[in-house]
Amino acid sequence: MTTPPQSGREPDTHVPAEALMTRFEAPEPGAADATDTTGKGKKASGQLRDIWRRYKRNKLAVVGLVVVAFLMILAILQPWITPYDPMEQNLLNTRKPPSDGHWFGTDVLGRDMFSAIIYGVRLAMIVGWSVMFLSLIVGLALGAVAGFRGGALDSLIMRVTDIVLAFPALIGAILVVQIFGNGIWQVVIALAILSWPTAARLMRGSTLSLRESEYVEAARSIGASDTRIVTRHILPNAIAPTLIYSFSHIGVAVVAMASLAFLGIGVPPDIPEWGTMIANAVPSLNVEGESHMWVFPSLAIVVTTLAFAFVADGLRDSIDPKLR
Amino acid sequence: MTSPSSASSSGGTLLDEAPLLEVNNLVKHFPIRGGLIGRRPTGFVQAVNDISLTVGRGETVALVGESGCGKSTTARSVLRLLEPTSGEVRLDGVDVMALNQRDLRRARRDMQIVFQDPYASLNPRMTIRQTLTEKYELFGHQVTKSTISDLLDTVGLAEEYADRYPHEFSGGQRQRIGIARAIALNPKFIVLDEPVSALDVSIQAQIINLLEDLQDELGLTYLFIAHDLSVVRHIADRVAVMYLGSVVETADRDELFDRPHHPYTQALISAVPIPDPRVERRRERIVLRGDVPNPANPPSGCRFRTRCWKFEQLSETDARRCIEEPPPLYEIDGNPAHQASCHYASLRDVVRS
Amino acid sequence: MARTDSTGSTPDFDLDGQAAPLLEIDDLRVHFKTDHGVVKAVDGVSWHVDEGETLAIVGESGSGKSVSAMSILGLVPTPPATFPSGDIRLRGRSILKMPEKQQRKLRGQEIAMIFQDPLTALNPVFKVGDQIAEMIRTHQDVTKTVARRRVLDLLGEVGIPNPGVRINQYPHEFSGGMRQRAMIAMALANDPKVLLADEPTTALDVTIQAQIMALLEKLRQERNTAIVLITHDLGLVASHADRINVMYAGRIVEAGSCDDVFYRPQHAYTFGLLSSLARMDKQRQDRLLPIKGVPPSLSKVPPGCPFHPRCQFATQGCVEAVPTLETVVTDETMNGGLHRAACIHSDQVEIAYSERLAP
Ligand SMILES: Nc1ncnc2c1ncn2[C@@H]1O[C@H](COP(=O)(O)OP(=O)(O)OP(=O)(O)O)[C@@H](O)[C@H]1O
Ligand SMILES: Nc1ncnc2c1ncn2[C@@H]1O[C@H](COP(=O)(O)OP(=O)(O)OP(=O)(O)O)[C@@H](O)[C@H]1O
Ligand code: SF4
Ligand SMILES: [Mg+2]
Ligand SMILES: [Mg+2]
Repeated sequence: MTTPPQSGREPDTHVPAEALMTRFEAPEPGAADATDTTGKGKKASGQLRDIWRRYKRNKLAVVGLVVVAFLMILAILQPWITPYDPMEQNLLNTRKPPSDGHWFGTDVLGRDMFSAIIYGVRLAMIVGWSVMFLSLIVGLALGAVAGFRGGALDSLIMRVTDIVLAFPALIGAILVVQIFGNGIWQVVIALAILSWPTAARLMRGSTLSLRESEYVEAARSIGASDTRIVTRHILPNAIAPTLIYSFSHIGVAVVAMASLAFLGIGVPPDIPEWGTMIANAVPSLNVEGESHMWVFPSLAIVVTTLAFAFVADGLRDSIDPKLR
Repeated sequence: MTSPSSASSSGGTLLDEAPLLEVNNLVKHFPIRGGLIGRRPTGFVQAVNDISLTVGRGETVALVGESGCGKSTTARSVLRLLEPTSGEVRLDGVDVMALNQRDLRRARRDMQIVFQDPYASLNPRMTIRQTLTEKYELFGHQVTKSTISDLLDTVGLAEEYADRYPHEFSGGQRQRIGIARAIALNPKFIVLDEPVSALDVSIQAQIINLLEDLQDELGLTYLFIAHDLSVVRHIADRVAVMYLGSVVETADRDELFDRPHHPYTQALISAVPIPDPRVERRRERIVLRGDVPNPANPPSGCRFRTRCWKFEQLSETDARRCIEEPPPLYEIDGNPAHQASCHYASLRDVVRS
Repeated sequence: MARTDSTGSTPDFDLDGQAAPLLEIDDLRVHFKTDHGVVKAVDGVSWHVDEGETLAIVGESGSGKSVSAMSILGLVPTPPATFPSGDIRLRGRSILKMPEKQQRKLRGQEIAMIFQDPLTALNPVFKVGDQIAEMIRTHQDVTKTVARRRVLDLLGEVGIPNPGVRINQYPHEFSGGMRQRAMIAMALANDPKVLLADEPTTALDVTIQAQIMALLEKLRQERNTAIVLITHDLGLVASHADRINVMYAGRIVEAGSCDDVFYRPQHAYTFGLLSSLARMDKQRQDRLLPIKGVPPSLSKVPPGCPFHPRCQFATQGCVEAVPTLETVVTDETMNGGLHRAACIHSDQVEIAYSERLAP
């Protein structure tokens, strides 16, 4: 994760004489266009198009985006595409390797693995996105307030983030779930509690540097109120690093949920969840013909995490080239 | 916020007309906070130290001086974009220091600022139309389609630019947009904080001409901050030279350039190279020693004495005066419009020789 | 006034029989491949500089001044840069054809550069003195003590007070002018023959600028160093340059002695530049005379003369072909300098300028 720009002013980056090439930045895309001053048409969509153009250059990010889109569709259509009820047990047909009837085989309780994995997609998407939105909203709000107001409130918020971040993530999550009890939403809350501090710190950093920027002063000079300055001038410009962090955190949340479930914490054991599936497959680890029981859920976790990481990476490069 | 005098101001310039802007004994000190937790200041940066200025209606007063001498801080304190430590500011009869936050926001309609960096002073995620419209909205004005196109036209930009983002413009164009934002809703007073310093030479002249045209058309009053004395000689009516937070000399434009009296003004003018090789070969340069002292710990007596070339030539007894006694602004040759704060001020021609 | 045809397409400074110039760049082209097409940052530039001479390169932002200087030191990254043509010669020997190691030795020892922002050249985590000593020891086989004594001398020479104290300080403890001096000391560490000064004073105040320029002037006189002064400040040029190259959109559009360029400009861009200036030594002009429009993007340089869209003299002929740099012969040859301009209306420009100067 990139650290937030703490002070935008100080030219503290040093370039050794030999490496002065880095001093050159690619010319700003638009400034070049503006020089053909007759400039007709060319509407506001320019910025989005520029982002997309830069995004496209990163092939992995494009693959990631396709996979993410595919996962989202699977998650939404899950009730219609799963051939079996993912919960339905069939104790007469357990641990069967993949076959025509059961593409991914069946598990210890005779449930259809394919349906269970797809259900797991739905679960992962719900939890991943919910964690993202929760931590983003809390992080943005607290980070912006801390950065803009400063003073005692800032100190307080930052100390809280220090405390939360000092906890080893998994232990923290276990602790929170133990307090709230098992359940999907409990997991969401636990993971959100653990991830908002980083979002808040990123947001605070960008807010701090923007607060002193000239265009914010310009807004003040035409009589804009503090609320307006924060919502219209600071938020839209400060949000990118935080947004990218939260997005890359979706994959992390999915892994965290699976890890908890693997330990038997969080998501109730009767719900098909990738971590639970792997835990159930542990006795079959070395049994011939039963590897499908851990291979498929593991694959699902890896693919999901990587896809979100790739997309976040692509966003980082394309939304704000300066963040690199 | 309208002043009582505005009704009668149509009758041409009255000789005894009060100045539009009056600044008295303005002081701005920034606390220096040392340590990690220390909330108590360990000292003060004396950025602006007891400055008084007046700017008449329709006049351009230039504030010149080296980097860090407090020009921007003065301007921002006058506009209360920074809260001054003490002092009095009156704009068209209104006591700006006494306004509460709400009234201050409303009063901003009359006092505007154009910033130095055309790249940093526009919100990168707002189109030009949004940026300009915002100001009208804030003051409760209806924006029709022609409002923005007329405004852009005034600053020499075509309307089709309105829906573009700042990054699509060159520096000069952005500066025009910044000027458009400032002149919208006809302010009385505009601070121009180095409006052309970041621009190419060939573009600077475009912007200077635009500023002059706007002043004529709209009757604007400018406080023009600059370190380029050539531009100042062109645009200013009066000039105030600052050094380390204080005004050291002030005079009408030609008087200041042709008859500078303060040793610092003389050094400053002589250091500016003139784009004329023959003139340059003739000219003698006063090269000052050393750097500007730390404004948190200025020298005693005359603040300029550590670099003053005249001080070096004084006898020990004369020099003691510079060390012990801060020079007030002395009137030069009985001309109240020309003042210099030097105990030993005297004429030296530095422009041409 | 008459115009002589130049011989051959590449201008050649080597007047017959004369020794090769100290530093010479010949038909240099530096192009950058970007998303927005090929940026021709430097497009066929030739110049030379001799011992004890100050050559000024002026031009608008983005006209290729820095890139041409940095190519000499091999500081332009490839990719994105390509070098379609060009040669760089030091005393007649092509630098580009030398083995890598020898190139590196020349750069830094024979040719040194000072930058606008000293912080790009000074490393914040090392003491200033150590950095300069390091610079000496990479090029010369001397002991630490000798290098250190040399650093003390250098710091004193560039006018840093208390060298004994300053040598042990970090860059952030220096003021802006002081850092610039430190960088100059570093550039001088190996007694270079050529000093490339890229906007050495743009970030500084005029009183500090006067100090730094006085220092450079002293070096030129005492050490006979050749100085290439890159700047957009025409005042600085007027007071320090012997010869001037005016660049526009990656090309040299006018070159000549200081007086020739200032008093007899032959290119419409030079004319525009000089006319647009506010003058501190004159009573106020009514209005400034700006050049209209903005400089072109270097990925879309207009056809023909790159200046024609902004030019008040432009005719159809200016659009059709790129004017070449041609030698201008004036009645009074000033300073014996070779005056050349790439403008097909240079006689009109000269007349217009003398009319402007007249009153
Ligand atoms: N927010 C701040 N906190 C502390 N010190 C400040 C602050 N703003 C300015 N200063 C200091 O106040 C002094 C005056 O600064 P100011 O920006 O007014 O100078 P200036 O004359 O506008 O210079 P420049 O030509 O570089 O813009 C400087 O020493 C500066 O370091
Ligand atoms: N690495 C790069 N990639 C793409 N374009 C580049 C690169 N480096 C420089 N350029 C382009 O080359 C052109 C010339 O740049 P250069 O820095 O030489 O200009 P300059 O004349 O020194 O301008 P300034 O006065 O602003 O320093 C510019 O248009 C710049 O955008
Ligand atoms: S008062 Fe003394 S030190 Fe100050 S400017 Fe005058 S002569 Fe120089
Ligand atoms: Mg300033
Ligand atoms: Mg440059």
